[in-house]
Amino acid sequence: MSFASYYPSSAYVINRLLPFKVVGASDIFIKSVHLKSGDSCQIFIDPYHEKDFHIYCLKPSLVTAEIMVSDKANNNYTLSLGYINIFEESLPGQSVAPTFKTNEAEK
Amino acid sequence: VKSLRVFFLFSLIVFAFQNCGTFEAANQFQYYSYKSSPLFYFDFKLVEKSMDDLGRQKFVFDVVISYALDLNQSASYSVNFSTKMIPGVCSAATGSAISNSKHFRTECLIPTPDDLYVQLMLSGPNGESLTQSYRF
Repeated sequence: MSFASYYPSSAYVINRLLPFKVVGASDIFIKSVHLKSGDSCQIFIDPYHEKDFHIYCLKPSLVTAEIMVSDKANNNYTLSLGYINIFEESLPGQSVAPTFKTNEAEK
Repeated sequence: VKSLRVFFLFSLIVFAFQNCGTFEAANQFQYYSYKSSPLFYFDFKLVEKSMDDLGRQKFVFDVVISYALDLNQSASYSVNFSTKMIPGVCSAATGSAISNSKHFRTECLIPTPDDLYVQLMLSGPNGESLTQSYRF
């Protein structure tokens, strides 16, 4: 299990809702999300899409987060999301790598 | 009287906690603009509004679009610009949003300072469509 971003990393700017998806397994849903860093940011599960979550930042930030995922057999997984660089402004096609890595740990 | 006081205090505590929960829930979604299950995730942002030496007004927009039902499939877009007097005042920006082309900039230069009306039209791979209007 991992994450995928709906938007390219060049679109990671402040005051923009950034959607992400948990991928790599079927019949799963996000149980909870928790920000580990990024003081001016908020993270929340999409109210309509159970595998999607969003990050929104008011200031440039380096975001890390923990995503709790469950499957239908009630197995729980904790995924770590880090580091997402949120910029003041970024041009399309601008290289901002590395911004995105995931680690997985079964709980 | 004592039991009335206890009841009053208990009610006050319950009321306070209920409001706190409501505030947190509302606060969490204050940046979520989709009113129903989104077919497309998108953001349309004015990043520059300036005037040149000839008195023309320039608008630059930063746009990001993704098909929300499958992030690997493309969404087609068309951005149309008008003023009250001039429909199609600038050439429409059209394309397909997939991979890195999901994020792009588009601009419009209008002859005199005026309000700019923008229509963002999106269509998905299975015939879904959405039109969003803005005024700048």
